[in-house]
Amino acid sequence: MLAEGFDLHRPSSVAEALEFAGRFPGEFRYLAGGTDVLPGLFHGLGATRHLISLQDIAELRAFVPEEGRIGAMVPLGTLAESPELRARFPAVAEAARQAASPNLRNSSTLGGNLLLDTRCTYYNQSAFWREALGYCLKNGGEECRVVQNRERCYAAYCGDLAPSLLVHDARIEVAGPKGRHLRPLKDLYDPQADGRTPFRLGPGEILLSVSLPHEKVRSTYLKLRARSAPDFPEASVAIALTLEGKKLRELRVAASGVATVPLLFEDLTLPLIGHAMTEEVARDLAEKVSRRLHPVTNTAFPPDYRKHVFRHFLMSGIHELQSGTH
Amino acid sequence: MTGTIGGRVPLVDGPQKVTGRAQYAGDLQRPGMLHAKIVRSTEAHARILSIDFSAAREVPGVAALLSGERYPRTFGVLPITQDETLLAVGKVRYRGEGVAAVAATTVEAAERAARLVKVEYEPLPEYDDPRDSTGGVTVKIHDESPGSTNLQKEVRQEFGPVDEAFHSAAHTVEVSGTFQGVTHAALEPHAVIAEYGPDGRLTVWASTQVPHYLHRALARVFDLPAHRVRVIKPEVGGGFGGKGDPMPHELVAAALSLETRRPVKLVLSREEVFYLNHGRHPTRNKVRLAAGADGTLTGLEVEALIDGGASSSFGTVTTYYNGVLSVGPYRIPAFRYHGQRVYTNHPPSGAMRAHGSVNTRYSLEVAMDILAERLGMDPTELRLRNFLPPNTTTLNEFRITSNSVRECLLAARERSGWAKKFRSLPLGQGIGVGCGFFISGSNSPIHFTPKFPQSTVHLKVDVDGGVTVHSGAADIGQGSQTVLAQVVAEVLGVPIERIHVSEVDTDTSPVDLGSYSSRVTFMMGNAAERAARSLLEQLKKAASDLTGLPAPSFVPAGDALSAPGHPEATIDFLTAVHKAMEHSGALQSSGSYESPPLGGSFKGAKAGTSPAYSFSAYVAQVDVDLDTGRIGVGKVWAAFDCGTPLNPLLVEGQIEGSIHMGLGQLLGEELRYRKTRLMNPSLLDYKTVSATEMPEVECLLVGKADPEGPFGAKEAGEGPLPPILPAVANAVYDAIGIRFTDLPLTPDRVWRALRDAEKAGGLRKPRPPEAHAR
Repeated sequence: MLAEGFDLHRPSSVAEALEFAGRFPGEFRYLAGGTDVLPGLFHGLGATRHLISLQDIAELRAFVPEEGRIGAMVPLGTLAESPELRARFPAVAEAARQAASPNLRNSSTLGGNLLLDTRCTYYNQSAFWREALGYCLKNGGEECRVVQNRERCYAAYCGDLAPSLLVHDARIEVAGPKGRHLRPLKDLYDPQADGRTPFRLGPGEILLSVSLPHEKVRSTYLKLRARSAPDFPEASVAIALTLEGKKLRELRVAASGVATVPLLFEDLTLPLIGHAMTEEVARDLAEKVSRRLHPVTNTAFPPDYRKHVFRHFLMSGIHELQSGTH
Repeated sequence: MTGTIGGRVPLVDGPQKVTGRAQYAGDLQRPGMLHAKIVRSTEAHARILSIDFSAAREVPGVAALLSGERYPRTFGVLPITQDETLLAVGKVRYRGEGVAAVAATTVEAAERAARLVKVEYEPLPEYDDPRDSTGGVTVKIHDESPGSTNLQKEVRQEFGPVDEAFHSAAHTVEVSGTFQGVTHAALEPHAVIAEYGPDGRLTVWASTQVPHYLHRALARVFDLPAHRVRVIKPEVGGGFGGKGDPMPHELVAAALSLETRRPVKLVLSREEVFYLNHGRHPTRNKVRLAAGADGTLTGLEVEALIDGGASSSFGTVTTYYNGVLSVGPYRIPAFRYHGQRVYTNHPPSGAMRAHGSVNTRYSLEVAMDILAERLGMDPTELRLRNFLPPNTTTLNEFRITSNSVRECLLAARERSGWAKKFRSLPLGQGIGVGCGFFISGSNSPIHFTPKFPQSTVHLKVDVDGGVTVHSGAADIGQGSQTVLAQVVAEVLGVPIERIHVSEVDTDTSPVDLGSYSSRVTFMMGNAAERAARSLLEQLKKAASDLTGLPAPSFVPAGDALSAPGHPEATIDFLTAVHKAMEHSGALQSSGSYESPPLGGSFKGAKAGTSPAYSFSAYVAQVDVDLDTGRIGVGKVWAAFDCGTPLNPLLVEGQIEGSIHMGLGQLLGEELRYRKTRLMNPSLLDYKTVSATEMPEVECLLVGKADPEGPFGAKEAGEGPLPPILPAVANAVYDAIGIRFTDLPLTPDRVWRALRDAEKAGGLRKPRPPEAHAR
């Protein structure tokens, strides 16, 4: 049950939503599919006076898979079941298919998944549980419960869609009080920030849509989780890879579930462009990538196992994409 | 037989459930109803110094505030261990225990007020590891424990020449297992409404498996005569043992209703259900087998250290069951058991599906597999060599009657293609076997006074020819109402649509002890059969009166009574009913079941005695991902002896559900504690198996009619669970040559073991036995 009530607002346009946001500075949250925000509220997490639902804004529901345009309020189930999306952006469709569970995918949205709050064993608990232990950094407390320290929160980013969209070089459109603008998806995530608020989004800004470039790229998404539904990723990898003859024309790798933000490893993959992707190169890349991962003990599986499976997924994903090219 | 028994009859209460119209306790409303919330302890073991209600009292809508001292009388499911109070009195024993309670006009007001109750604690030493509870305890959890221990129950049993058996054995095998706590995770969280009416009667609607024991606990705690207490069981959305005790929150709701004279509703959150727990005990056990050179078992020794959590619950029974339920399905000529159940500051453990038998069964069946390998023998052959026969007595004096365990194993072996697969599949793939047996109803009632049958059924026929069945047996989703309807329809020879099974209401239902120990089909079924036969006699008499033929010439069939050889004398059911009630205006009957005297005369001899036992043999095939450690269970051949299945549809449902639950404990479920803190009190973090991980299950119902079961039936509710865990674990060994004795086998643990095996000289399949099974 919700301990304290809130007012629900249902704007029918982006402009109206921004108007509501301007009216309640610091006292509102946007509500997309609600599959993460509402369970949080039931636990007393992210309590707010005003919820501004984006449900009735038609613009946000636009879905044009053949042009790579996806409105932020498109349900993950729609993405999972779109043959056009699967044909052009396989990792995106696959990530949607592996997110949550069939019933949750009917409600949960692309935008909600990209802006999914970071998660931690010590944070995603009831008010009673957190009170009994004493609050953590992300919850207004003094100390992190996972890694004993007073500065940095280690809650993990566990969205499924971000890595796939990152390797497909997605751009996002954002609307704010000063108007609309386009930017790369990777700029939405602040690698310097900790697990408390890792998103680069100004006050009142709304994520409107995602657009994907037209070129054809082979891609895949592999996800570690305890059960095939409804669990969040414990570690996941998206890979986009195109060959020209035997040489790499394009290679991008991104991860989720292993840090406070989704990670894109451009500096490790760019030097490989134009070279052959051998077994040794793949292994070397997997080693270098996995050294960048610092999972901590705040999910179901231990960190070393998550890193191991991540490495394995990265190697087998590269192998799968290469062999499929022939 | 007239066709209802043995048919695939869908649940009689199925349509109302699948259309969402079934009323569970949480759906019920009463006029003027208040809502209650329990304030729970943030400490695991602490003295309560003070409870400050002053801020809570100010919340608008608050009607009552309660702490434990108001009703300090203890209760518990077993008369010998009544160690629970409705709210903590003086001290708390686990984190999440109720300390105070609030009733208010709305749920929100109750929650707000509950949060404002301030409790001051003085922490006491916390007991997390059961090994620390066996001695050197400085502050006991319950004063009743002997010496400086937190011991709740200790059992020592010895039968036959145990030392000699191990001394002279050709082979001995020892397996030490560690088992985490698991919990029922029934779909419906517990809920209750209590209403103390102006007539001075207390009525309680509760999501319970044991209306009768709840009835007794309410009368005891509030010092009310039992006839002023009424318990009604609405639809229940699963129990699995988790609703098998009178529960503290049920008494809290009743107390708040007594205080306010208004109906009070209390619905537990999922998190609260985890704290209520009463699930399977975290356990460390050791199983030792002694065998002759030909594989004949000569001795068995079992030790178990059981983490009971903060109260007793069914724990005395659990402690016995961890030992005595290992004396079958194999012939054991010498047996020694030492079991200890200790209190810790974890939420209470209790009874959970296949109560007390699962963990010992796992270690024992793994030990059998190891023994077979030592002997160079196929593990199915080793089992066949040692099975108990039908109609025998175990060394601890369990009376075994019908027993088709041999047929079970032969069927599972045949259907699975065992001979071609065992030790022959590629690395990473494997096949394994596990067997078991289970009680078909505990022979001893929990309460001995007053003396009455374990189950009674009343039948009442209306002038319209409808038959209403009154029984105190709790249908918690397993289908006991359907079985009742089938049995009565079968005896009377009428279509099942004539039968209406009334919900449990202690005002109208005769006593049935409840849905636990897999007793309902056997005991209630027998009572129902007797009630229906008694009714049939009255109908035959009516038919005789109408035709002049002697009553015994009539047989029931096709909604009528007919006399073979006299086609003109067929009397339809309704005509017979009207004749039978011509002068009384009523037609009713009763039947009851009392189990026969069973068991020896030594201390604890009654534990594990049952009028019948189910038997099982499962074969499982698995695929272990050598890179990630994930165990995929592909197929299970589940051979089960429940005597004559009264309703194969329901039996198969029980087998599939048991496999799902057993795989949960084996592969992922665990109540994860850091010290005394439960880390995963939610269904997202407590990893029950999802539908996509379920294997294909082939059910093989190969039992023969049991001489005492209703229409030859035995239980199928719990016995189908234990064999799946060792069958899969033995299959994993066949796949990768690694033995796992600590549960659960999560992929990270399997991966670690795979890595260690590779470091230690490489991963390979175990060697095939010298002699294969034919």
